[in-house]
Amino acid sequence: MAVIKRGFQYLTPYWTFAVGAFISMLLVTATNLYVPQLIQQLIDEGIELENWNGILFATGGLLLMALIRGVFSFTNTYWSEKSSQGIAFDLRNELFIKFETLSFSFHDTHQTGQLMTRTTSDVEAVRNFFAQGLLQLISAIITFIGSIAILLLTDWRLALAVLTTVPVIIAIFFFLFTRMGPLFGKVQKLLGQLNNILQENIAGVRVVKSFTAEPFEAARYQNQNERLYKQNIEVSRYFATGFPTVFLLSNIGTLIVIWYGGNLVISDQLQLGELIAFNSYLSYLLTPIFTLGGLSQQLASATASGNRLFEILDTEIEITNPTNGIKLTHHQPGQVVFENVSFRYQGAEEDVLTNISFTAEPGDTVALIGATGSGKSSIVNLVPRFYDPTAGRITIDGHDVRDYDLDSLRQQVGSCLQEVTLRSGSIRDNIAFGKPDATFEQIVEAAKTAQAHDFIMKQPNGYDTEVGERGSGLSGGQRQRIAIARVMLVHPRIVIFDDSTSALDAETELKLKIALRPFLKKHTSIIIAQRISTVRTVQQILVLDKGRVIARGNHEELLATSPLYYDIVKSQLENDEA
Amino acid sequence: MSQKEENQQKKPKRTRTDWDVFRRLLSYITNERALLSIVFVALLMQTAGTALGPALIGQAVDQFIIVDDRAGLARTMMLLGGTYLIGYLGFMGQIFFMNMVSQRLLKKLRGDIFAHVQKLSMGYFFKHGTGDLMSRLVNDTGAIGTLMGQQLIQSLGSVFGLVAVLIAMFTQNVQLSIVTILVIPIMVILTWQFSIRSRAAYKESREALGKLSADLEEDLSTIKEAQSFAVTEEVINHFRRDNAHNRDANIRAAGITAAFAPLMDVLSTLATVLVAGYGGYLAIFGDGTVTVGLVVAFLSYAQQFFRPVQLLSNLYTTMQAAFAAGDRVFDLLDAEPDIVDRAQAQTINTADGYVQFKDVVFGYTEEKIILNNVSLDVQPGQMIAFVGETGSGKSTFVNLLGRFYDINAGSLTLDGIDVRDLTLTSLRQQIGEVPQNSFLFSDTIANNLRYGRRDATQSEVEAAAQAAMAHDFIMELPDGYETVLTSGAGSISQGQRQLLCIARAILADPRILILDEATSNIDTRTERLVQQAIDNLLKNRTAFVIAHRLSTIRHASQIVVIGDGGILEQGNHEQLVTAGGYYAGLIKAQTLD
Repeated sequence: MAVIKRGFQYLTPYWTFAVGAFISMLLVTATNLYVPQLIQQLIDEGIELENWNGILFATGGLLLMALIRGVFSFTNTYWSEKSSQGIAFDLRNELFIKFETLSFSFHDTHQTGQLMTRTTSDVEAVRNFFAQGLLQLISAIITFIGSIAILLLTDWRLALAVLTTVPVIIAIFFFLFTRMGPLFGKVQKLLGQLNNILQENIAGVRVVKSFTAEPFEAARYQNQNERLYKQNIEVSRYFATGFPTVFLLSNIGTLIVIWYGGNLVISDQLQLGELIAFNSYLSYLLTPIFTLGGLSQQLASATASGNRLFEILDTEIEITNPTNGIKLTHHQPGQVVFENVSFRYQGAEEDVLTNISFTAEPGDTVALIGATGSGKSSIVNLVPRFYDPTAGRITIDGHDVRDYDLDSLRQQVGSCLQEVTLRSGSIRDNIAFGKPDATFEQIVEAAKTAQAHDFIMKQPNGYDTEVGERGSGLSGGQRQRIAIARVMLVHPRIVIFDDSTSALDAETELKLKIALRPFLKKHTSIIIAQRISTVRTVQQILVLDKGRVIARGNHEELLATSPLYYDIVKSQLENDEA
Repeated sequence: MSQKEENQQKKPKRTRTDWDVFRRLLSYITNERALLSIVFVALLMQTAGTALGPALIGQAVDQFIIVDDRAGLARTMMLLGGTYLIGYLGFMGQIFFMNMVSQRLLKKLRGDIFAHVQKLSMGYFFKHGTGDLMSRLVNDTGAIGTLMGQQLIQSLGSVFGLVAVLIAMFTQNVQLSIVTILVIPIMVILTWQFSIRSRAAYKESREALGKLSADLEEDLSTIKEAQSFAVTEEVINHFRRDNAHNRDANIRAAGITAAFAPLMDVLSTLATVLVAGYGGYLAIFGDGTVTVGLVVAFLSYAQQFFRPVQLLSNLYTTMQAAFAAGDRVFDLLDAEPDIVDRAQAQTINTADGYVQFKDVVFGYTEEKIILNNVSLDVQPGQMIAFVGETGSGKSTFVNLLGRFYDINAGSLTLDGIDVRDLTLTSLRQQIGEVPQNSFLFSDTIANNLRYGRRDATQSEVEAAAQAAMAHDFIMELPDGYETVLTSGAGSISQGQRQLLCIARAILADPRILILDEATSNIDTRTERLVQQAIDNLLKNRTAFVIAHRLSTIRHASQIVVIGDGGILEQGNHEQLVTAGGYYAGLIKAQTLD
């Protein structure tokens, strides 16, 4: 309930629409309840008494009610849509901003799909509750209580006779809804598994075909298909018994009314029109029960969704911008110093980095080498504050990175990553990602440095060629070069190459190296590499093992002092020497 | 691709009319005749129950309550009870059996599509992306299911109900009946007008939502990039605009729907008023044929009459969606696989592995020829390494060998037999593959390894894993060989995935091996394991390697440099280095530094 209460706060900016919708709903309900009264008058005072004026009065009233109901049910629907869309809009914005500002440690543990679901389905579930659920709930309760009251006032004996069916109907509904929820869940799960088989089959079509596993795949799919079918039939058994039974019970109510009520009319204890009106009110009882049943689901899912949303909105952002942070500018030297830095990922039990210290001087390159998991990427991620160290500190030109304005820090620390996700749009837009106002000349220059210009010019529309979803249509090496061009365009003070040339062929890698040389001479750079050939000329190589720097020096020194380095060199010579 | 061509591709011309699609969908349920006749009978019972009810109540009021006949009332009420019971049974049967029919239809449709997808050739998958195919199977069958299930039966029931009410009305009083249905033409015109407007509005809101989700997905998957370039503010502003557009489109669409329902409500009340007014007038001033009971009965008919009319107007939207979906599904089902067994195709049991490409011409599309008159002789047990730039056609040779595509001209033989004269299954059983992306299924490790040989024993599986240097790390996993792999990254590293793919190929024990080397980087120590595993794998087999590592290439029997539609250089390492061409340049670039 705390969730719903919090949800209400989102309604406040739209309270005029919400109140308007609420009043409209009350008026609609009132006219609905009044209609059987008019029909009763029509019959009792009009038709039965053969009173023409009575008929005119009642029918006129009916039409007026319909018009009023029409206008207000329009305003009810429209205004509640307006307010609920407003809520959804605000919630989505708030979530999105939160996602964009949450630190890497959050995104490490949350997949894009999950975040998508939060922003779409979960917001929609909350919106639905505020758009329809809430008002329907109130309307259902008013209609239900109002109908019962009118029934009792019209004839309490008849009312009591009829109302015996109501608890049974409610009990059946309760049973159905508690049973069906889990059953539907099971259907959804089976369907998900079925689609998963399909998705893998298509994604791995090459493997399926080359191992001639088509019959096996078909059998696997058919098997799951059959399970889904059986579960669906199971669900429909509940449907098929539940809903007709409810209708039967409500029909029995009508039967009781007409039979018992008919006898009351015969013994002149009840008017005929009253009997007919009574029957109408009876049908009003059923709809709210239906609605309430459906709403309990809607409420449950809105609560669950709301909980998930608020959990995210309440997640603390670890990396925050300091107030009055120092602006890091391009005119500074850009000396990077690690002072006894240790780091562990949130929730992890062991440090990934222990006591790392080194200095990267302006114009110098520091190379990191070591096995997967030795902590190379963790080191470079600390510089632009994707994570903050658990102990020790990192300084740029003498100031702790945590004292710099976050945006200026990240603008001056450019990272070329190994795994590159491009966005749909033109190649030009992709290169200009970090500097949307760059001129075309600047973009071409950056692409030339990154050895991307030639292959871009070979694309059908050159720089305006659209790349598909996540850069599909480009090879891994081409994507990596675009990523490098992206960083070159921003022209950061400090640049990080996180294994960012792994997919390049040797020739291109060499050309890139030559093209980058003038830039690297003037800037600070940290480079992670797998290949000895990449780091051989670097003056300061750090050899990492299990999060510690176990050796440092240049290539020749390390060959002499570090057995691990020697080992790596030897294995690469065996493999790659030529 | 020009803008115009692109548009044409996005909106393929429909070759089937709605009626064709509907008939074909119906053909899926017509073999459920027994079930359908039960549904039909049940629906009749249900309709009888709902239609007779008001008539009996009217009769009770007219003939018994007004004239104080308690016994007659009791008889009618017993009859009413019976009617309700019949309606109840009908309702129950209808729901259950119709659901069964539609679930069977869905099951069959899904099964058919999946089975057909298995037959389609690689060219089809190349042309249509994973997303497109997935959406046909998941969303389109869903849309069809919605129509061919409760929606269809409800509509049929509505028609039945409509007919029943019409019959009941007209047999009792023609004048009153005509008055009741007077508003129908107005309703039809209004519904039609509204559906045009709302379709446009909903299309807009769907597109707005589509754009929002597409952008959202992209934004969310590039959050780290946005943060690292400090451009989150721009991204947020862009999202805000999408979001606002979506909100406004939804509100507009809702405005139209919000107006439609009340208008219909007013019209159906108008019908009630007309019935009451005219009926009341006839009851008072008429010749006595119109009684109070009759008017009461007509009042309830009027209400029953308009519910089905509204239901039917909803049907139109569902039908449109389902027919569009059906059209796409049938497109898929009608796509002929272009690579099939020839009539006289023979089976090959264990090939020697002698492969010959002779004057082969091939292109994935007709406009762009990738291989032009290319010949290549591969002796059993040889290892061929393909080298060349991305897109030069390195993988084309192996695609042709497994008949994933057919050559345009020339000949391609295995052990002297044209590959097109072999059955696809027996041909592909000769060939094993280690894919570049290290694709594995979300299943246990053991099942993944068995993929090419389902009946392998546990010890055979372990032997293969050992040969692939994978046994040790598998045993370190909590569930060993029974560890379930999750899709995407996660539980095991990329290098380990590669080892598993190698083990899978070793267990399948093919005569010919295709190795598409992974480009993603693995650390040196794992790489050494991979190298050793590959050496084990290649032993005694004819092998085709799409090579990225010099170490692999160096040991090849033949190195084939591909480019410009053909073979640029061919020979072993020493020969090519001496020749001083492209390959020699490559070697120089990698060693000089």
